[in-house]
Amino acid sequence: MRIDDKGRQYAIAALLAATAVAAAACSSSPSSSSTPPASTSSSTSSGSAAAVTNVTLGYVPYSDDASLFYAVDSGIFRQHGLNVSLVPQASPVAVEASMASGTEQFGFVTTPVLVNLNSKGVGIKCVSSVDGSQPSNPADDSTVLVAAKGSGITSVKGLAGKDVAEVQLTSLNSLAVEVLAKQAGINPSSIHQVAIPFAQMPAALAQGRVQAAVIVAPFASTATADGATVITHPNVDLFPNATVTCLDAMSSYISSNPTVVSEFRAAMDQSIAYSQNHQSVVKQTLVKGLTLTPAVAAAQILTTNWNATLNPASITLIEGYMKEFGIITTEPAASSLIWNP
Amino acid sequence: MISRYLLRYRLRLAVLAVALGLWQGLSAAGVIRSDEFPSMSQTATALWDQASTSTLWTAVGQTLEGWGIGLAIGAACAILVGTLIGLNGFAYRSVIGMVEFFKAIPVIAILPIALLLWGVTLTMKYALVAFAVFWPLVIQVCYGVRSLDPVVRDTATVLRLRGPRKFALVTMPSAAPFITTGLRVAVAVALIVDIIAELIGGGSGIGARILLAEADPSAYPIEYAYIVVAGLLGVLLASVFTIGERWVLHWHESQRPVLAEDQNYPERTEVAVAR
Amino acid sequence: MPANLLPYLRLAGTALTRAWLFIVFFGVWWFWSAGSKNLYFPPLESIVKALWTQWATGPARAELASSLEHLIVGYVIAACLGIGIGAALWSLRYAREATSPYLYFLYVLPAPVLVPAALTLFGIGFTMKVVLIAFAAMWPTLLNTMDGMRGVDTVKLDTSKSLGLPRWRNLLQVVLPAAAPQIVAGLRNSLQVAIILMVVSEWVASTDGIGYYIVNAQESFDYVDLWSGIIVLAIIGVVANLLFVAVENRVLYWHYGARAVEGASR
Repeated sequence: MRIDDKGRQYAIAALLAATAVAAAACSSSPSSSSTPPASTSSSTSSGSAAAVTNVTLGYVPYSDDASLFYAVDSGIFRQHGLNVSLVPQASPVAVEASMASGTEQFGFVTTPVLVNLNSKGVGIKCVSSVDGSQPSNPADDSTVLVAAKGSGITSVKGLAGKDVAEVQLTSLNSLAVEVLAKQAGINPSSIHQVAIPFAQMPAALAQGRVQAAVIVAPFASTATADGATVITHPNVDLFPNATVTCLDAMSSYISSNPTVVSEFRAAMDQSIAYSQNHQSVVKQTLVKGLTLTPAVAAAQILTTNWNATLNPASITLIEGYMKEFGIITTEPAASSLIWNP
Repeated sequence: MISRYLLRYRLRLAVLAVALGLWQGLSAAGVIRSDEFPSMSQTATALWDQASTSTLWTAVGQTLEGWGIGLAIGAACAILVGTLIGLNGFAYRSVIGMVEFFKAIPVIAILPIALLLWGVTLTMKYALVAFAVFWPLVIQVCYGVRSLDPVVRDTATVLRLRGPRKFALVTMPSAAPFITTGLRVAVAVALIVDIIAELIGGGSGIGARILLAEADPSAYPIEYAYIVVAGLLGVLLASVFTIGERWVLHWHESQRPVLAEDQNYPERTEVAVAR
Repeated sequence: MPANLLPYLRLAGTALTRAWLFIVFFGVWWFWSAGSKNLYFPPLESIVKALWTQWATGPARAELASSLEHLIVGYVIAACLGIGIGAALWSLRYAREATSPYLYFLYVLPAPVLVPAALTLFGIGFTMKVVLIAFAAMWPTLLNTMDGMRGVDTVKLDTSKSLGLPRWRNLLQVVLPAAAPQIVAGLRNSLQVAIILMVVSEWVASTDGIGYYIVNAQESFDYVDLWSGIIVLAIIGVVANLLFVAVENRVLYWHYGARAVEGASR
């Protein structure tokens, strides 16, 4: 029996090609996979002679990133010697994981995540605010606790035994609900919290799958249009003027790149100060940043009091609650969680 | 002949029209909430808008980068390792348990670990793709190498073919259809894994575009436009692969009935699958 | 005495051959990670402890049961739909030709992008998960059923026609059995897809299940639990596969028997 010559040629060629590719791949594959870095110093090209340092920042896309986008788009970072590449990610947890890998130097983080990681021995510090602290005026806060139409819930007390939607079970919102419940005198563990993305909350409320939700704009207006009623603004109630989010970096990176970090802080402070007085301009960065139309971008509420100073006392407060509800076992000192120049 | 060809295409267009019409109808009738789910026309408009800028094409390119590198690495390693295991019984029995174990891990579950190791980078994407592609393909290659038609095997023995000659002339061509079947599945799996890595991890590419567009209901048409792009890309890659497969394996008997009967059947799946 | 021992020694030998690489791998992992203070890569010892205290004897058993429930229901539906629709499309040639590119399109769509739509349409909970699992897992079976039935030896089809078998008997007694090996290959692939979808459907908006457990562990930075979840998933996959192969051998014994007679190397 004769095997077709062409077939043999193809087979040999395929085998040689596969070997060649494999050899090339195996020799050039990253060797960083063998030892995972716990707190690695970054691989940025922070050449002392270079005028601009390249850094990567992982963020979670939402409206309050406007000041951050503005700092990039308007060149404020560049003026401070930084070339910031923004990488969108789904949650602060993913951002922290990327920072641990060393591929990102800065990231967006929420205070509970910051506290949790530090309490478990991972050193990360807030370097700057995102766009200010939690507002104390409900009109400025787009995060609301709503009750579904027909659920009969009119206050936090009514949440006992009900299903409440949260964006993430370990988030500030979910902690706030537990704290409010306890303050209202009901057992927080009787509330059944479900993690649902904001976008699917209005449907969940309307279909009665949950009886309440902690929801943000713009989805909150969809929910209220369906008949959901606003019960309260949990973050205004519990954490006015608190540092609930920040931009952070790993402690090891901060100690080896103090100049970069202080320039970063200065740039963000400048952007936030500008944003306070030029909100309409800054909101337009959301057109590119969040793929919104200009009209929708202009209508966004920025949840901030424009105070860019990081507030350690508020972090201590949040830590206390987290310990009370068993999320963490040790409370790291709030001062160690914030970097100061 | 021609009329049957045209009929098939007219039927396919008709099915597409019915499906799209149904989507639009459900949206217009309010069965699908307009703030949860965009209508067909909105999605089509968004798709057109995105396609006329460079955004869509850049995203496709970024996805294909991770897909291509990961597929190449995974496939090359799998062909090498699979061949080695297939040829040696001891190697097969030693390794097969581990391979089955790792094959069973859904890639989404190790995504957190991949993020820790490589962050949201191209490396993370192609590492995950290579991981996902490698294990099933190893088994498939191994199976192909081992399942030599007994007549062919005996003929080779009679003709005193041994060693490298036997491998190149007999084993590899015989295993080729199994390998290409495995590769066809790998092409689809690689794309799915790449998009999942982008969607949940972030970064760049089609999945990242979908992630960005989830932030606001006004962007949902864009989100679903990119979902459609993902599916279309998969179909395109599979078709290209099938054409390539037909060309490379034109000599093999498994290709003959396909060529004779049905020219447009890129969805043909497994000839046989490893046990 | 040695003669009595021989079969047992051989069994031990086979077991050792299959297991030694595993043992080496886990041994290396164990010793290399022992004493690790790294949050993200804890000692294997803690992970194994978590496997025992959480999964074998502890609270995570509820998640396991819930996931398996969704998996089984979703898979059975997927199998029935896959074979049923596949067979229907095979019989109706125009339907098949009209829809085949769209079938592949739906097969290739990455499952997580369907989750928001599924949440909107089916809410949270059992229905959404089962629908997602069934929808995504049906395609390999469907495509393989169509393929397998198309590939049936024309001699068989001609014989059945000349015997005057009615369509349904032809389908059930000639075509389906002939296509069975390929259908079973599709079912096997579907099982893998179903397990993946089981995890994916629990990743978002879930209150139970292994996917929920892993996501929760990740968000609470409990990486010991995370790793234990990953290992549990791998174990489920392996066990499901073994069960499947055992069932497959019984059901297709006639096919493998025939192949063995032909002398196919296995």
